[in-house]
This record gives sequence, structure tokens and C-alpha cells, in this order.
Amino acid sequence: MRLNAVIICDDSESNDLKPLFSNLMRETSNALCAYKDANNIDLTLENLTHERVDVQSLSERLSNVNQNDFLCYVYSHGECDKVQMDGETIVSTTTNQYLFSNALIYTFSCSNGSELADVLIDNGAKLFVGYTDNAWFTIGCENEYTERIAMTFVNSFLNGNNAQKAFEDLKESYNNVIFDDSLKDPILKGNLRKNRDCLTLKGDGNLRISDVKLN
Amino acid sequence: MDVEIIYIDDVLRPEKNAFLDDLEGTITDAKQFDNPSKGLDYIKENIDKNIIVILDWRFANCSQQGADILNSIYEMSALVPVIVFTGANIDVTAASNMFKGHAFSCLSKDASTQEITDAIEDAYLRIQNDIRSVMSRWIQNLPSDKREAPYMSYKDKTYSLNDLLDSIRRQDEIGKELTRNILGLAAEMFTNNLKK
Repeated sequence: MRLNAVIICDDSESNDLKPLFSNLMRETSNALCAYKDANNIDLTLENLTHERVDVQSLSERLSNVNQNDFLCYVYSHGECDKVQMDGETIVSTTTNQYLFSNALIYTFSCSNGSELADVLIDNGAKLFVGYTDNAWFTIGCENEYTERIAMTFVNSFLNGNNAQKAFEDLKESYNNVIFDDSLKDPILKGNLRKNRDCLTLKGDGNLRISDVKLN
Repeated sequence: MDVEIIYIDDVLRPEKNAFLDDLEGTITDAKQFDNPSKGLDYIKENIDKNIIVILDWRFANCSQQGADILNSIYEMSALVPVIVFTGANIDVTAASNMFKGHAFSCLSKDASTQEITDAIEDAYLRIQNDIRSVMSRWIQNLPSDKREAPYMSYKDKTYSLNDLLDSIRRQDEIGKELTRNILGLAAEMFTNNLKK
């Protein structure tokens, strides 16, 4: 039995968030491999970075997996109606939107939790977790906060919780930083609170990793 | 009061500026400028300080008038209170320009020393209690290397704390977003504490 997973990650050199996105890709890959080993299943994992994917090649890659359920992680820049990779739109409400049927999508990307999420769900995606507005990302030594928060959903879902519970865990992860008395940075806390408040889950919140039909 | 008074008036008369002598000892310093450009340069160079500007409204023989100087100060920082100090009759248009330029208050040059002192104290309270000023002071008190380092990314742009300080002062889109975020945080913390 095989689980398919795709990670779309903008690791282009021009991207200030390359360290953050790359770390999330690495940690997600590790989490998926750990899940594979723990459950004795096969895993096909494609890391689609900026050198490996554009509008056309994304279409080809996703067509190979979207006949069955697959996990899709997006660590890239976004706007309300699109995902961008190194400045190029690779997914939008009118581009490649049909490729995500059967996808369980988790994003750490600005704003595409609004219009794009609705279109992807309408085109057969089973789940979308992301942000409905622009998000603040920590940089440098504070990266750990963003990485730790972002990985909460990934780990909670792979640990067997349904999507809604994993989503609540993600929010709680934000709260743990926002209300941490030992952290004395009010601007960081205020910005992370904004992130928390624009989180969204669309699709079937009851889905669990065990519901994902393996091929 | 930890505040410096900047008085900009094209005609500086000691008998009219007696209030500055009366304030001596209660404020950090007072500077007087009859040249608005020099006054603006001084404000720009000392923007990290708590400053209150007392500004004449009509300037003879000068291309800049009170409304222009008021706008220039606001462009540097929305957090500097400006008290318009004028003997001129102010019509509706001039009053409108004062409010649009975000003047803190307006005093007649016939005002008593007590009235002037009260206006300065009110402006100082604004500096102390305005959340934007509180945010600015928090950033200013951090070590310079922390202020200069990349701090957060928003809408594909990376900001240092110095960048955010500038935005808070100018109340541009980012500055307003930060202010909203901090107020939201404070409100949530306050109401959470009330529920306990």
C-alpha cells in the first residue's frame, strides 16, 4: 500500500523566506518518513522546489497522483487567488486548479485560504488548511517560533487526529507563543495573533490520515 | 516631564516666550527656531526623543506656512504632538487644515502660562499613553544590533525593527497593521484576565 505526498516549496535564492520554507519541507519530509516507518507502508514523496517545477511540470507531476487521495503541503508565497513560486504563478483560481482533486492540502502561505481554497475544494480537493489574509513570518533566530507552530498541524494529523483537531492544535500552538510570559516581544505576539485569527479550514474536518485511501 | 519643547515662530519675542522660562526645570529642554526649515531639521535629527512642537501658524516672508510645517512634521512622525500657537484669526479653512494636518491642539498667543502648561501636559500624556508611542519606545530601548537585523517578513518584504519603528511613526499601511495587531493582542489579554 502506498501513500502519495507532494511538498511544493519555494526555495529560490531570491526568496527571503527560503530558510523557513526549506526547513518546513525538510521537517515535513522527516515526519512523513517517520509515519511510513511506523505504519509499514510505502511512501512516494515528491519535493517540488523551484528548480523542479513550473506551471507545466506541476500539471504533469500532480496528474500522476491525483487519481487517489494524496497529501499536499505548500510552503510558498501566495495571494488570495494564487500560489507563487519564485515570482511565477503556478496555481491560481484559473491555472492548475483542477489538479488538486483528492488532495488533502496544508499550506503555510499568505491569503490563498480565501478564493483559491474555495476553488480547489469545488474542484475536488478534500481538505484545505491555510490563511485567509497576509501572514507575518518570523526571520532569523525567531524562525523557531514559526517552524514549531507550522509543524503542529503536520504532526498532529500524522499522529492520527482528525483535521479539525489538528487545526485546533495549530491554533493552540499559536496561543502557546502569544501567551508565553517568558517571551517579551509584544510586536511578534501581536503579529502571530493576527496569523492565528486568519487561519481557515475548508473541506472535511473529520478526515484522518487513516481515511486517506492508499493506492 | 521627559520631553523637549520645540518652538517654531518666525518672530521670537522673549516677553511672549515667558512660558518657556516657567517650564524650565519641569521639561528636559526647550529649543526655539525662527527658521522653520532649521526647526524641521532639528526634529528629524532628534526624532528618537519625546518632542512637543509649539508652532506659529502664519509666517511672514517664508514660503512655508504653519499648515506646511505641520504636514512635514506629520510625515516624519505622527507621534509628535503639535500645538498650534497663533494670534491670527483662524477661519474655517485654516481650522480644517489644522485638523487635517493632525494638530494636537490650538492656543491663542494671549493664552496664559497656565493654559500653555496645561496644553503641554496634555500633549505629554498623549506621548506617554498612546500605544504607538509605547511600541516606539519598546523598539528604541532594544540594542541596535537587534533593531537592525531582519526581524519579520510580510507581503514578500523583510523588515527590521528599525523599519517597523519608521512605519509606526509614519503610520503607513504597515504601521497601522502593527498598531491594530498590538491593540488586538492587548484587548484579548485584558479580557482573558477578566474571565479568570
